[in-house]
Amino acid sequence: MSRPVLKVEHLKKYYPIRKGAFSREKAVVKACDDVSFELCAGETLGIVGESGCGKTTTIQSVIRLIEPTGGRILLNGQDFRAMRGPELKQARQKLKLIFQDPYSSLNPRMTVKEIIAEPLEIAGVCSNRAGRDRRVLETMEQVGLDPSYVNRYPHEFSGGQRQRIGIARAIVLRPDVVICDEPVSALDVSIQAKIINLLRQFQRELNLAYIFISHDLGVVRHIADRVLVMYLGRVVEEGESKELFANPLHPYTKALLDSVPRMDADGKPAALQGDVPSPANPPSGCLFHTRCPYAQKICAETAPELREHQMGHKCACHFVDRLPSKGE
Amino acid sequence: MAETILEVKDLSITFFTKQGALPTVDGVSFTLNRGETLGIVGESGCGKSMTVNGILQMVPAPGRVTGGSVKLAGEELVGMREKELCRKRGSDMAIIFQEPMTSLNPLMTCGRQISETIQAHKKMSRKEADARALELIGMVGIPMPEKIFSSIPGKLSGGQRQRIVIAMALCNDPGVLICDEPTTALDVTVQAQILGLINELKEKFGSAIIFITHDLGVIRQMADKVLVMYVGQAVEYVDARELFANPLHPYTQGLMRCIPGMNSGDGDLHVIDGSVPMLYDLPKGCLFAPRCPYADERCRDQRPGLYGRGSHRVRCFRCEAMGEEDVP
Repeated sequence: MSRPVLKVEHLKKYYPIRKGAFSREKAVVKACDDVSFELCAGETLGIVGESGCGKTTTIQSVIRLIEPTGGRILLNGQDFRAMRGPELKQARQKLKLIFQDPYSSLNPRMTVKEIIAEPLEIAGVCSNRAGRDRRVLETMEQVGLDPSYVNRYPHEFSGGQRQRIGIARAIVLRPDVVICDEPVSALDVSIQAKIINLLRQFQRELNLAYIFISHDLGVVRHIADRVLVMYLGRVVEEGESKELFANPLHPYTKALLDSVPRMDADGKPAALQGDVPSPANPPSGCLFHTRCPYAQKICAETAPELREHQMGHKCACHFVDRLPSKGE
Repeated sequence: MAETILEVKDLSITFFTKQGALPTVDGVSFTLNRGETLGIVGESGCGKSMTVNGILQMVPAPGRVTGGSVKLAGEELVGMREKELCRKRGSDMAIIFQEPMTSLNPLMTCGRQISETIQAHKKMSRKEADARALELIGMVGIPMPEKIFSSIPGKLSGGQRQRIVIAMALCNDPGVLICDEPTTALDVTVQAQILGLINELKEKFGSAIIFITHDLGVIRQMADKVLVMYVGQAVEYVDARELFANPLHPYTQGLMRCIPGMNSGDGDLHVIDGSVPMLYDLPKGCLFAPRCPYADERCRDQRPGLYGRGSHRVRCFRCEAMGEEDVP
């Protein structure tokens, strides 16, 4: 296995809040708690979970759009959290983001050319204009945009085309890691398929590593090599994508998979009862015990650790060995 | 034979804009029996939502219902006076919108929003209406209905808000319940809960449901009959079972193949070539011909009718042999 381009260890992001009478009590919301993973070149890590489970906080902390509270981030072996100033700017060129909403993530007052050229300008590569323009046109062609549209504005494009502009902006600097935060959620299925194929094509051509966030489990299963399942800021299960979807260990993962309406099978999806608890007031012990059908006394008392159950398949559950397996 | 509650025949909606008259909905027909669920699927802009707006006679300007008829329990709605329509909307037919955040009044308590709807249609004192509202809140599966009754929507989670919207839609026992992407904004686990609730209430109230979604998996779980739409036209109209076992229109087939499922392979996803045509620049022949892998000269030259036998209708020349055009 190649060396990881990105290694995240025990990443934490806590937000202080005040609660209780007259807001006297100090407390923290653990938006992302003890998240660790490794990412190799050419690999895709999927992160799934319900809204508010900390998917976006995790990746924003990874690229330090928000400063993490604790943990280590190693980018190509270097400590990313210790970097400052020009060094940080340099390193960030290796980490790029694609956003969910292709409408609000592009500046409406900039032309396509300005949008795609902006990272080049900030990075200070291609110092002459001709070189920069050539690079912009090349990239546009790569993502399947007609280069003659170079002077148009984002509003002249459809949702799928805008997402292509977002992808062009992310890959123009040849990054090592591209973080995709729900990149296809706002798109129709036929366009979604095109964008997913495009992302996979770049992965092969440029040996990119992806972190792919989505609430659509079908999409994640298709694109990801490894998957993290998050619940209330914690990783509850981690494993190879195929293995995890075929043989989910954590009761939450099972419930999540069971609630997806399937096109290829009959039968009503089984609904998980209740709502996600408030992160400001999380349950004791295992965070999932309030909704877990298998919860015992110990689940409310001690939090289970994320332990390796099978080769590369980790799960945080006290009863991982004793739960009925899928299909029973 | 079950009782027909809604009969839509050749419904056409045209938008009169600067670009000319745009046929947003073009001759859509279907019938709906009591206790039945019709699913309408298609990509954005295909006229799904506009079709139900047409049924409710709520087409926004500059659009207008330009033809066809909508019969609710035998009564013609097209051309009905606004005052009478108001009496129908919210009582004989009700709608649940996609976005539970924006379809509730943020300043009014949840209970009052429901009791107001009841009072708008029934002679009932505030006290009686409130009692009925409380009962409904309990019926849609919200714990502690008394507390939620006096809460404003902002205090509720997305799933709870959608339950309130459902309670409001059902408060006058509508014969037809229209669900316009009711779960698109929700997590899969909450979606499973809401879909289960809608099915449960359908049995209890005996309403007929029109369910709009772009998610074929949801259609599989919910619908008895399905209408597949493409650029304002119905391209396939069939029993749900038959649709998934034997999709006939090339667009339906393409749509099904481009969804990454739980059992799909690792290769690139299937894509439908090209893009949806603009309403002001429609192809001369079959609307799907420019993207269709089977299109021939005739497809590019003439518009196909709806061909079919029994309950399976397809707008494709390849199915012409199946039977008469527009069989009643």
